[in-house]
Amino acid sequence: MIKIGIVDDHQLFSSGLAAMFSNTEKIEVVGTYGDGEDFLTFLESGGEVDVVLLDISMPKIGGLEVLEILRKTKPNIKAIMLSMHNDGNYIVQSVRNGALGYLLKNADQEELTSAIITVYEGKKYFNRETTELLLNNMAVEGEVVKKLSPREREILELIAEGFTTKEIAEKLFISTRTVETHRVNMLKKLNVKNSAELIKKASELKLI
Amino acid sequence: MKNGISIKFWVVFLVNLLFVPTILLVSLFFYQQFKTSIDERVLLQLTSIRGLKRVQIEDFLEREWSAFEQGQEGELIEEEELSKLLDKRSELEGIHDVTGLRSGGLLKLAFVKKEESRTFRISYEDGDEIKKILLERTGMGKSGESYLVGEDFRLRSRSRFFPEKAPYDFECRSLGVLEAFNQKEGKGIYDEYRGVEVYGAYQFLNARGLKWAILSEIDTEEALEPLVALKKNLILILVLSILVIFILSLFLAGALTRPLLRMKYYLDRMSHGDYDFEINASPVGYEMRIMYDSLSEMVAKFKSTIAFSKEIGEMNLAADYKLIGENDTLGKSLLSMKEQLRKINESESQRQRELRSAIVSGQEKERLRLSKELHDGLGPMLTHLKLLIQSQELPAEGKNALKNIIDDTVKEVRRMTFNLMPQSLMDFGVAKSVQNLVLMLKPLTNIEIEFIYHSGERQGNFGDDVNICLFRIAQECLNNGIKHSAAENIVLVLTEEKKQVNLYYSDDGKGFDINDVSGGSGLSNMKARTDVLGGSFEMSSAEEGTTIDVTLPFQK
Repeated sequence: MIKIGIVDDHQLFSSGLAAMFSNTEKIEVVGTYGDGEDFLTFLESGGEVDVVLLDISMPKIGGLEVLEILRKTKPNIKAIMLSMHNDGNYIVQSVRNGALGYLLKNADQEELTSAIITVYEGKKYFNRETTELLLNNMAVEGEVVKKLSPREREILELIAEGFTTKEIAEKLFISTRTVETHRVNMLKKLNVKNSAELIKKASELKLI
Repeated sequence: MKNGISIKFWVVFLVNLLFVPTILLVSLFFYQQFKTSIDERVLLQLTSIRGLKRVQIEDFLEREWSAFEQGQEGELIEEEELSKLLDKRSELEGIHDVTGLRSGGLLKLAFVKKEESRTFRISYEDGDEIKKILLERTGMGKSGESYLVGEDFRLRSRSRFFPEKAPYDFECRSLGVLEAFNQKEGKGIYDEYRGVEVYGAYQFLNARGLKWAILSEIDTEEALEPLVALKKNLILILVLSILVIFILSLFLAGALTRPLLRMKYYLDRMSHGDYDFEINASPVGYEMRIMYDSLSEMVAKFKSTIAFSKEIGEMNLAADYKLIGENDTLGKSLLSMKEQLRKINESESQRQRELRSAIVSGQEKERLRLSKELHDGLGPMLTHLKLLIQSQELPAEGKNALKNIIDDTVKEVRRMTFNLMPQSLMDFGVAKSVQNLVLMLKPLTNIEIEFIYHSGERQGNFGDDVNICLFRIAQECLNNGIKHSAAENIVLVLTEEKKQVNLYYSDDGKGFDINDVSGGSGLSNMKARTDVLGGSFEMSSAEEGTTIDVTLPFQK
């Protein structure tokens, strides 16, 4: 029997889940907790679970915070995030904080069950949707954009031709600050310190 | 101001008062001088003529007498007879004027010499030579004459004015004659025998007992002819001078008063509040010119003050004004008015900002509340419903259909929740929320959307207000871009700088008319949100696309 805890501030939902698991053989619901504090108090008072289903948005102590505490105090408790948020940021953050699985709250019983079992075995569980969200998010985050926008290229060419910020602004009918913003953006994109380096690197990369 | 005598009158009056009498006096003096000099000249000349005549006559008589004395001419006559003849008792020897006694009024002289006791020689002479001497009239003009008057005050020589009359017929008791017989030699102006005023020189003439007054005279009328001419000329000159002076004084008065009246015209316009004119007069006179310069300067300064007040009137509080001087009360008032207006304006815009801020934050609170309600209320109920359905003994087909509907509903709730207020905005900041938004939108459109985030210390989390503001603007930009721009590419750049964060949106779409109000509430919303947080909002749109550039300072 896998001992699980359900931490969710929605009593109706957690009791529904508990009822759902009550007639399974492999999973035993140890308890349902209204928020992170409740659950941590239970653990402190000697309570034990193998797997915990954590909601993210909760009063007092939220799910992501609970994960952090668990990683430090009870690293053997496996956590699955069970959230309404289909926002990749939450998935990424959950993974970073040590969650082994992430499910949306409209997950089926079968999926939930298999996720609990997978996680219990020490493996990670993400379905297609959450995996996609996770990867997208991480890909975007890790992406080093080495591509200049058409406007940036235009401005870079003018900078290379020796025009001043003011002249460029007048030429392109934009504010000087916009030009400056673009310039700073390009400096960051190409990881250089000044315009001279920018032009050098851009031509090396054949961006202009 | 209608009464009072004009400057023009005064100038004319004073100039004429000064010059006319002067000219009159000078003329009079000149005239008098001239007359005196004529008098002197004429009298001098007459004296010398008279003197010459007297010498000539005396010489002549002396010569005749000598000739008579030595000669034998004449007849002898007894003393008694002679006394009767000459109507005289004593001094019988000598020359006797017998005009009255003998001839019909013509000059007749008798030379008498004692030859023996009681016998005298007598010879008559009819003074032709004397007549000749007297008639010689060199330097005497038309009316000049020299003549002799006897002791009986009758003329002895012929009057040139009455040649046919006998001289003796004329009686002459003129001043000259009287004086001459008083043994005085002299000259003067007096009335002669005709009753005509003359210049005259007179002397008593005494030769061998002959007693005459010799006179040389000239009519004053003739002698003074040049004076009359002079008088005429003088009067003419006087009249002309007065005329010229009058005209000149009028001109002068005009030159003085015209600029004054012109200035009055300008001042009148100014007093009616009209300063919109150029002073382009170049009046005569240094003082006038500096007065006009001052007026021009005054107008210019007034204009600048008015321009400034106009600026204030149009609430252009950036307008600046330099005080004309320490006592420029108007300028000071305007400046303090500007300051007051600026304060009012500031507090008003502050109030507006607060109001907008209140509205915006109210909106956002409402959205957050709705978002939470959907998420915390509807979400769990739906998931609970799904759980319930799962636990029901239902036909598999129906059960799946129900589950799908619930899944879709949950997705819809999630979408709505996100649009209302993404929870991640609070938890992860705007950068990640926008990134997520872009990820969500990408599958829904063919437009290539690129989101670039340049991170800084704050990791894209700038506090709720800035987060929400930037997220809403990004949301609005992306929605508009996707719906209306017909662009192929959209680039969204979020740059975190030291003290501010910049969101830059750019598309290569067809652009739109920024001034078209129907394009409206979204744009004004973005502006208002930026404004509330004291940021700047710039937008440009043209055929080659639209850019929106928002910069927000970080909250303190």
